[in-house]
Amino acid sequence: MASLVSSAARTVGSPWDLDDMEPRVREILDRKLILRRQGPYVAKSDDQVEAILSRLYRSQGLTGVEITHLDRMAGGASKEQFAFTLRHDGDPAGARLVLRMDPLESIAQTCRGREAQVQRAMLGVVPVPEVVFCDQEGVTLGQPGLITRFVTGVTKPTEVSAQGVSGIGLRFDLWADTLGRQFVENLALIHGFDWANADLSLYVAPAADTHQAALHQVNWWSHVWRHDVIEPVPVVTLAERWLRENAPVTERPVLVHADYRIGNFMFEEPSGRFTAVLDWELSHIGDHHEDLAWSMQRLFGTFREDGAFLVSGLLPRDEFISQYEAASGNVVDLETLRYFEILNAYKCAVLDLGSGLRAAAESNNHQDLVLSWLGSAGAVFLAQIVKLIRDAEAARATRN
Amino acid sequence: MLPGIDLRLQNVLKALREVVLPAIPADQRLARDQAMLAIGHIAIVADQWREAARYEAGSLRGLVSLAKKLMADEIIGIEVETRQRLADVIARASTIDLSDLALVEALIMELGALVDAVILSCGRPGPLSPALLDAVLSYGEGQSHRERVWFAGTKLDPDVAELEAISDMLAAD
Repeated sequence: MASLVSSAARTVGSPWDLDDMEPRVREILDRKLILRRQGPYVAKSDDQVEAILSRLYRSQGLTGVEITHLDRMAGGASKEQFAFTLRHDGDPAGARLVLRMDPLESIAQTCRGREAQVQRAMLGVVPVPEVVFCDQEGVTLGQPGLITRFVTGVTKPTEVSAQGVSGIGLRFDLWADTLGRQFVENLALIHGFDWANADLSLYVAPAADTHQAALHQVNWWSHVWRHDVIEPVPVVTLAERWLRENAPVTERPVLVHADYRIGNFMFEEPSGRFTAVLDWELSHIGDHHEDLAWSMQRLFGTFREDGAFLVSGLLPRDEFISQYEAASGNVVDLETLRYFEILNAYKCAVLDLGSGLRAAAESNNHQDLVLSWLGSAGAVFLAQIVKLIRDAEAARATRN
Repeated sequence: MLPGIDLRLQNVLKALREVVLPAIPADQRLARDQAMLAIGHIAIVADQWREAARYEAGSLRGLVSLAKKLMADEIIGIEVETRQRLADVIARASTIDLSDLALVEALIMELGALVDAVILSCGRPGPLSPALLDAVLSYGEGQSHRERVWFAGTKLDPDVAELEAISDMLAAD
């Protein structure tokens, strides 16, 4: 539970202590500057991936290794992803697996080790793909990567064809009730997870009852912006300062998925049962409002015929909040929620106009073309930042 | 110029749409996705290229206008050196050939960096001044709208239907 102002808040550093961030996050971001000089990066061919996987499994002592049905998976603006079947003498029937591998630079530079840790921790809590191998430094694969079991399901109903990048802009219609309920329940389970007693050694939690949860994120994304900026954007810089000066207190940090939205969950047809919550690469310990605000972003939602905005194409905003409060026991403070909406719009602007375009400019991604395409949406987030800061300032003026 | 830029872009689009894309096997998803995005990019560039210098000249004018507001009396705390450099870039912006896209872009970079420095440092350790906040938000409102119109062709903007045509936006600049 958070509030924008709390006199009881403990002080942990200054809002302008730019180095106050998780060490592993810092390491990954700084390593990118070294990787940047190794470009350009070219998308892996099927033959190259097959060779990488064969080498990996032989190094693990498997005999009679066969890699078949290798398919590049759709999407993947951040990581190169391949589904494949592994057969060997100990498993002639074979297993269907997914390889998720880092290009030199991507729209989000993250740690496969953290991703593996959190997915292992969440196994049995919410549906997640089981991690069977992780190479967080790229020692074996040649670049950081992880391998999970293949999960069946779809990210959108098969009868729905119209959608944008990453499932954005989709409406679920008849599926909305079933999926919306699970969408909320799984988020509540994630936020209720006992992270303090889990093996999350690559994570560092912000101190409770401080501004640190928010400031860790501001420091993460402003660090990224300084490394990646192509052209100065005054609104991005203004947002950074505003976010530092208005950081809320987080009383009880929770596990935050950080990309919880349409396109990042899978379900079975026709039951509608969730089979996986995907894309944990940005997860961290933080404020529960952050996930709510992310799910609610304008770009991830659609409007119903009656004009109601549907969060991630599923359910109206007010219903989403009330159902979440009931399922989680967490209180949603609307001022704090708006702060995190601004933080998330800032983060998206940094991703779209900073990291994505920098990776494309350096020719260091497997989908440079996708990144420059996504960059053209950056102004949508800038407009959101302007509107939301104006709303926050107007609310402050009314309170005063 | 013969052949002209429009003709060559249209030829590239036709080749991609009618020859290259149909020749890519359905299971080659990356290649198909990239071919379709290439078509999208080129189609948008074809609509934009004639107006690119005019668009960026408008971007520079907006940034100069913001820089002038930042130097106004009600915004205090700008370092003397930064103020002098801002004045220098503003003066140069009034003399350059605005049809020279590379020159305009370079000036946007230079002025943008100075504006950023002001936003981050002005008045600290105190809070952002209301005047500075309002100046940047007003600029941001205008510039983000211009950019949304400029890139409306990608249809990534969820509110694309409410945006005017590029020609109307430039006429109102």
